[in-house]
Parts: sequence; structure tokens; C-alpha cells
Amino acid sequence: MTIQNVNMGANLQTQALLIGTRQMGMSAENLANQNTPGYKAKAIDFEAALKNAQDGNLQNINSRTTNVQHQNLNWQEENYPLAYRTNVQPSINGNTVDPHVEKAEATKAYLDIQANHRFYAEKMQNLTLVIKGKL
Amino acid sequence: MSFRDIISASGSGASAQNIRLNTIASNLANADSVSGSASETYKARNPVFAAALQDARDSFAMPTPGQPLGVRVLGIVEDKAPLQPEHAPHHPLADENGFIYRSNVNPINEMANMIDASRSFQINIDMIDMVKNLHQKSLTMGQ
Repeated sequence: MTIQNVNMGANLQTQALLIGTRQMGMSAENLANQNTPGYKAKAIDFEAALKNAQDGNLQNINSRTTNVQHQNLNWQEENYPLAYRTNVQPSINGNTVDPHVEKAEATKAYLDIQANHRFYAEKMQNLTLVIKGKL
Repeated sequence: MSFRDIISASGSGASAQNIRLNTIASNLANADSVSGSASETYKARNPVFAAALQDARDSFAMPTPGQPLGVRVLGIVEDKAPLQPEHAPHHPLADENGFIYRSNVNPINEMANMIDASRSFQINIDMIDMVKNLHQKSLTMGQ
């Protein structure tokens, strides 16, 4: 494993972590607004995101930095389009948040992030072993 | 959107539900309040919720770090349901026609509202708990 490979893997892991965080954020926002009249639940449209990636339509947009020393993580909002969730049951005040769906989505994102943490940590451990030269 | 922003979004939700629980407690406490005039009688109060930055969020724009997310309480409004006048000429608060006015609080509505508010509060706190765990894991990553 070359250093470049490690970097590429880390980049992928970072992207995955960012998606997970964004997803948790959407769920948190939807849950905070579960009693707001007329609020429409939002989610990341993974199908559209995957299609973007497969068609090679990935946009290169630099992430927002507030300091010259900030590293560009290459979060590209356009590559992860958002969409409204379709609700299971209509509600009288026009709110489409289903707390159980949101809780389930948040839990999924939570597990994804944990898995990615684990992969990342193990990758770093492997690299440390290689650098130290003892197995 | 960082973990901190998620915690603030869920925090705004928990805080809004707390205000709702507060108005419910006030309504239930005053469910049996009576008064000698319709204008002075206690009327049920309810908070009005609105998504923070609803207009900006409709465009699906990426929130910038530190932007307020979640929910905000626009205000607290009084229930417009009619009051119940009651003929009680011997009541010390009765007006010149012998009427007292009971508040328009419906205790059954309030109880149902209370359960919903309490569940919503819990779910927001659960969310904060999950994000807190992840944040802590991120801090110890690679150790």
C-alpha cells in the first residue's frame, strides 16, 4: 500500500463521513420541525447522487473555507441532490415529517458513520504498523 | 453542516417542545379559572412553530456553518374558541346579569397535546445523544 493509496482511501472515507453527517443533519432538522405546519421533510436523493457519479457528472466545487490553512475536503453539494420525502400518511396541517422514518434514517446514518470511523481507524493502524516495520 | 449545527437544530426542536409543554401546563392549571367578564377570562394558549429559514431551505441550498437551523417559535396565540358563560348569580365573580365565564381550555386536547410534545422532546434529545456519541468517537479516532 503506497501513501497515495492511503490518501485516496482516506478521501473516500471522508466523503462517506460527510454524506453520513449531512444525512443526520437532515433528519435532525426534520425531527425539529415535526410539529411545524406545512413543513416538508427533506432527504438526500441517493439514487440521483449515484447516477451523477456513474455518469461522470461530478462537479468540482471547492468547499467553503474561512482560513487559508483549511484543507479542501471536496464536498460537492451538487453531487448530492436533495428531495422531499414522500409521506406515508397525509396530515391535516400539511406536515410530511414521519418521526419514525426520520429516527430510522438517523440510526442508519449513525451506523454508517461508525463503520466509516472504524475503517478509517483500522487503515491508520495498518499504516502505523507498516511504518514501524513490525507485524 | 457539522455535528455542532445538528446539535443546535435538535436543541431548537427540544426548546420549542419545552415552550409547548409550558403553555400546556399553564392551560391545564387554568382549566377551571372563571371570571366575571369575557375579556378577562383565561383563554387557552398555543405556540406557533415555523421552520427556521423556511424560504432559504426551499431552494435546497447547503446551509453555511453556523446558520440557524431547526425550528423557531413565532409566538404564542390565544385560542379563539368561544367561552362558556354560566348562569351563577350567587357566585362572587358574577357580572350584573349573573353570569360567570369559564375558560375555553379543553383538558382532553391538552393531555393529548402533552403526550405528543413529550414524545417530540424525547426524540430530539435522542438525536442529540446520537450526535454526541459520534462526535466523541471522531475526537478519539486513530488513538
